[in-house]
Amino acid sequence: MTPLDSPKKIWQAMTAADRILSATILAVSIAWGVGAHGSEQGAVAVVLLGNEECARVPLDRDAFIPLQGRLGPIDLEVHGGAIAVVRSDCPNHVCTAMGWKRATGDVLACVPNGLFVRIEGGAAGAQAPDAVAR
Amino acid sequence: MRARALLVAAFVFLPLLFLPSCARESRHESAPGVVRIFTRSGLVMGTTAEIKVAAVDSTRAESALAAAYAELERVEALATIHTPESEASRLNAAAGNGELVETSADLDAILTAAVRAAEESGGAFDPTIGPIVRLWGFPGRPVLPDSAAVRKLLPLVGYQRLIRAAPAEGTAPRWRLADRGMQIDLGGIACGYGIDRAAQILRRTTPDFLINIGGDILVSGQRPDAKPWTVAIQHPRDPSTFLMTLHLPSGIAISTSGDYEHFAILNGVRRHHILDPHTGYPAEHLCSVTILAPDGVRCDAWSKAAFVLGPERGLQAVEEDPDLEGVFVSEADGGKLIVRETTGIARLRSTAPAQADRSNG
Repeated sequence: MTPLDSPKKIWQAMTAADRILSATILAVSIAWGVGAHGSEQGAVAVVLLGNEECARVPLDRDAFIPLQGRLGPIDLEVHGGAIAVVRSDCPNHVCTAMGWKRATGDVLACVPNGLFVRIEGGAAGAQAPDAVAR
Repeated sequence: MRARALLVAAFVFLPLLFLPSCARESRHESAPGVVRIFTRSGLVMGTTAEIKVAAVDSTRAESALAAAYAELERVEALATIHTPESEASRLNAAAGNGELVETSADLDAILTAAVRAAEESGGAFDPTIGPIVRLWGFPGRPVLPDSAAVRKLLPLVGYQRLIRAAPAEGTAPRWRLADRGMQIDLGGIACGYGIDRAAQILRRTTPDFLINIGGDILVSGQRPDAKPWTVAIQHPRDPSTFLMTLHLPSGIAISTSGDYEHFAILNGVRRHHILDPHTGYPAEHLCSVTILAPDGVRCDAWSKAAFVLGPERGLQAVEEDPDLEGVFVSEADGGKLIVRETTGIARLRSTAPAQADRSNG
């Protein structure tokens, strides 16, 4: 008999603490997995610090992303399908004034802090222009 | 015990399959023979940069992207006035002392193109506007300068006193600024030159690419689906939408200058960064100008020149130049936008202007 072909015996062999831990991990796994699959079709913010990619953040899940820029802390927030720089230790705060970005091709940047964020992969991506003259 | 370990291990590692990746993009792994877009993004020349290459071979594409990006950084290093050791800063430091400063072929090309654009536009673009830009504090912390200070510095602006000494055989080009206090500021043209240089690098690998440096763009070839590259023009008053989208043929650069990119509210008045070299104050009458040209350096300079010239003189100058096309946006009373465009724009446009009146030049 292999260990996995008798779940009932496995369950009986587990202590109460094992059962609580397993149930918790299972619940988190399912919740995270469902959320991640949902984001595959949605927009993703590609985050670069110092011209190196450091994260890919799905925009369909609210999140707070603290980062360390060249000059100091810089915080990103994802809310309602959009992303913004909500705090940056930089001289002019042009980045925080850029507001919330949600469309494929949109960018956020903090040049002094070395931050670059590009949104890609959204449903509108196929129709989005290849670039925007601004 | 073994069963428990397996079960717990499965639950622990299962979620890791769904974690968002922090590694390099995997979309670069393409099937053999399939043309894909390879992208490199980042910050260079004080702004955002994105280069897209349509290619089959990921190794060659990545190598070309890295080389093009390095070229942009090289041009930035020689043309910036924000580091004292750059070539441009050395020329500024020698202003008025009679010394001819040796320059590289790159700075020589930038300055030559800048003087040409200044001559063509009657000084609406002027690379010697440095003292005025510094007085206003753009692009960092803008301040409303005292009018007396503007009047005092304005005589230092004059491209006619940016002088090139023709190099003797085998020697480097040399330039000088005639008067003490003069300063070049190549922010309005170096980006375009960098784009042209990066394009030269990319063409060694592929004819199909798009370079976008802070909204100054050059396209070459076509997209992987064999369609033209599409470039939208930012709506000057609604950042969530576009004024229009253009399908660009190969070898076209497009640049927009607008009053919405770098501005500050000073004493209750909106002041933007496109300064008129003749007055020392932000140019009025337009919200944005988009210029199309066969190369980035001319496109970059002319987007500033046309903005300063305004809707009538600017449109006429661009229309009369067979190499240029343009879209001019001004704001009427009540906030209604008026869009004027040269005759060649219509065949490139795929969407009608949003919420605006349109007329041809």
